[in-house]
Amino acid sequence: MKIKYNSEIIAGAVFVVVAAVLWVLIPTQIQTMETSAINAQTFPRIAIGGLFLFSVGLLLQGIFFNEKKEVYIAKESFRSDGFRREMRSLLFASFLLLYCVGITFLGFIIATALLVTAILLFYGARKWYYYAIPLAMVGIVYYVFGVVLRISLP
Amino acid sequence: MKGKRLLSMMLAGLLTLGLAGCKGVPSGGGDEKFPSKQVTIIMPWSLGGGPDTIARQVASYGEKYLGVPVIVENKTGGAGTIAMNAALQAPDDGYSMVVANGPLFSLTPSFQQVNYKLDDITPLTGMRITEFVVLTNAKSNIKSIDDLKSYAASGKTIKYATTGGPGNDSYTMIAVLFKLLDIPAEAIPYDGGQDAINALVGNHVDVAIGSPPVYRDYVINGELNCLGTFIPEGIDVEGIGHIPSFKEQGIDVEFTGMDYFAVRSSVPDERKQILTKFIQDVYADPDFQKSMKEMNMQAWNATEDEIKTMIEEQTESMKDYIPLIQ
Amino acid sequence: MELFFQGLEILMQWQNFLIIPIGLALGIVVGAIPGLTSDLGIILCIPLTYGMEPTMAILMLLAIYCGGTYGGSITAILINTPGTSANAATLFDGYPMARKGQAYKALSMALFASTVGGLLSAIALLFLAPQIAKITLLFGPAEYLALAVFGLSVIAGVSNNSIFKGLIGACIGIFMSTIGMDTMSGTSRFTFGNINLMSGIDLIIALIGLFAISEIMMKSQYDPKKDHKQVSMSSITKDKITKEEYKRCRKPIALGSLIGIIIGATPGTGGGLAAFISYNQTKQSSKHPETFGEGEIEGIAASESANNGACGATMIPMLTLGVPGDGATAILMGAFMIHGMVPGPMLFQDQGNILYAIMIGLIIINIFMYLIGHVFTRFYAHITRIPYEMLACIVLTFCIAGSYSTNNRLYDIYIILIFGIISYFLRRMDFQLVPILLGIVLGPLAEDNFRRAMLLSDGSLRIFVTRPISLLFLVIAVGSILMFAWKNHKSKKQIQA
Repeated sequence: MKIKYNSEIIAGAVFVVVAAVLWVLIPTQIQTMETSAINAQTFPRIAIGGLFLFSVGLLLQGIFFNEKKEVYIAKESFRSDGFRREMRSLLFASFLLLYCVGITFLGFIIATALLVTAILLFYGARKWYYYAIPLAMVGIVYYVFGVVLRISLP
Repeated sequence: MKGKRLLSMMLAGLLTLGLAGCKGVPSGGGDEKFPSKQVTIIMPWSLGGGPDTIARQVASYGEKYLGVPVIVENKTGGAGTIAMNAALQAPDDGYSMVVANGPLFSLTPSFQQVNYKLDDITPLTGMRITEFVVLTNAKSNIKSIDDLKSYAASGKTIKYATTGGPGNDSYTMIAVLFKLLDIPAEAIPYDGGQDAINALVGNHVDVAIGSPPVYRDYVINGELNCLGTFIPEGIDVEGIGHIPSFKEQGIDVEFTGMDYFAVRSSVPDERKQILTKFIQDVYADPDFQKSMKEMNMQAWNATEDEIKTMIEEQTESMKDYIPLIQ
Repeated sequence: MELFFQGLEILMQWQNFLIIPIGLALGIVVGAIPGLTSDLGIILCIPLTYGMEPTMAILMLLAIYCGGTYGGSITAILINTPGTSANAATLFDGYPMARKGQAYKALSMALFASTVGGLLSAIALLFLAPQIAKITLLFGPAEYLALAVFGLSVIAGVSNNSIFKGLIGACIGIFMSTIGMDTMSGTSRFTFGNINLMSGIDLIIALIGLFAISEIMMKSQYDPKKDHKQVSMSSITKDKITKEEYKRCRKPIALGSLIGIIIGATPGTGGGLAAFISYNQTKQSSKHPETFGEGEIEGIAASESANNGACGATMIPMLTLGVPGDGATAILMGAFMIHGMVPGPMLFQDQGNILYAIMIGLIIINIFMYLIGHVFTRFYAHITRIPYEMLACIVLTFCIAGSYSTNNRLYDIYIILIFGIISYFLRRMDFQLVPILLGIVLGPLAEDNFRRAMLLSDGSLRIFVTRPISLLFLVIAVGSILMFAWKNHKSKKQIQA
């Protein structure tokens, strides 16, 4: 399978959809009691409407004017360097999402220590002090915030 | 790295030194002892405002009268409802106090869906009374309600600055005033008291609502005129003299703004008493009184029953006012 | 004049000269940590000042304020994340310079420009405060809207190659700023019934998510084996600013300081906007605009002189009118009140001597800032030598703790992480993040004042062109967009030719 694309097409398409959905949501999400012509809905409408128009512009620019990359989707492409790099950033994003869950149940110290260790493993750090210093930092931050600045982290 | 670590340690060191004086070691460990750790005051209004300043002053006496640090946490927004929710979600062990006002119960529920009621909290002690006054720019030559009426009679819609949008106490009261006067008027909501006064001083609006200490200097130096206050018996302000109430001027509208300290009603009674005594001790402290005087403010030492009665009365009168402006 | 000398007398006490460096050091540290702002530094230190003389107390807090505004540039230059919103414009050229190994030079210029901007601003405060305050009062809703439009016109200058992407970014930013309870009508907007969204998305939270987290994500491609460059200790501080570069930066610094003073003195705006406008104007009037964004030292000079130029000027409306110029001055105003000084028209009459002591003290603070910053810069420049995998973990820890501390809720941690991931994908698609930030910063200013102006004018748009100051800003805004369009057009032609 062959796909032609560039970042303008992807971004334009995504935002056209996002803007359309938000536009439809305005009446249910902003229930204003004002009767004037300019009210709480006006600015969100301008912003979302603008988002829609500019995304259409970007999409057209991407389709008709800018250079496109060609990608053949085949079995080999899943082993290419480029694909592996994309997977790495997705892996990193999933660390952050898991952390959201982690901090809710485990608290700051444990969740952050796990995250830090995961990131260091991700980068393949070997030396022991690469782990020791950031982990100690987690403890120091917890101490400084909790005891000195009196902000008790979860 | 080196620099950053060194610096954070310096920061830690400096702050520890600075705070050493206030870091109390809880004496004795038993479960019965209250308070044995830091007490938090949840503050619905922004930093540096009147209630925040008073709460921070009170909190600074935590070590002296309560034996533990007291800190103020600002959780602003949603016309105070966000702080209210935070307070009700906190455990009912007495370690979280909240600052609340009357409109949270008498007014906000008419404009927003809220999930709290007056019975959820117990007011401990009053904090301050807010006296709203209505002001005009001296250049406009509107010096009294009658001037205002004749100004409106010339076919003009009066534009007035409020300190917040609908659901806010100042917005509601001034809107009711114009409704009762039957003058065509339109509200221009501003962000807080200072902004509203400034819009008036800059002559961008015709009328503004203000509360102390914001407007006082402008009235004294003659830039602004005072038309009246919502406090039924009028107020006496140092340097200005007596400001008559609208009631005295024959308009049936009154409102007394107030802030107070409260806890969840399920907090054990003896803990409520300890916290109430703490605040009253602070109010009696000469240093505290001196600094309040310097700020031109006065602590309002009202009891739980007084506060509750006032809120109930306010809720009743709001029932008459709100339909007028909806 | 008599008050001036009385003030000088109050100032000349050794305690004051001890407290200023302490305040500055604290300010620089909190400013440099993403998520901790000078606002927080001031709040935390207010209780420490209860026992002090008013002059000493206010000087300490002012030192934190100035130090924080400068300190934010350190993070902007070294890890591509503005420490505070005022430093967002510093990233454009600061980070590219650091990548080229000129971190020390960039840091030194940031310090130098901050100091000059701060000094000029302090002098303006000392001599021109009452006059400037009168102009500030002329600003009504129409003028504020025009100013916000002027600020948004900067987008044309910063979204180099794709104007659509810049505009989309601005729309996203404005939309995000409308989330939460609308202050004008009390209506909740796009909260999806979530109580945490009622108060909206904090600027500082958005900033950490947009810049810091996405920056860490961008580096997920980083491979420690081949990408880490060993830089020798001595070479880092060897690259000093040349005489020629100082000379070149003279104009940007002068312009930046002036813009900083004007914008700073306008309530409700602040140093961030000043820095963007100054950066944009400098780029526009430059003979070589193409070098901006690639590590141009003039870019740092322009933005850092402007944000510190705003520091003293934000005090002008606060002291004379009782209206804080930005978030930090709002807190400072609280501190003034705690020490028995109620800002407003009578303050100069009642306590002029203390005010003069504070205003002269502000000049001293800026001089001290240069000295202290100079010593610190050497340490900071070495941060670039830390292996990235360690630095990422440490920055992330600070971001998480810092964002939690803003409102004491977990919710903000979720927001920074999710925002970070989204803005990472935007960056991969060649979106600039700055238009989003401009939208977030200027959205509320534009919206509230647009609605106020329309209420005042009974719905007529003429209010924006019949008032001279408003018209002036709009003309400059349109002019600056046209300028950029023309220059872009010309440079495209050159490439084709």
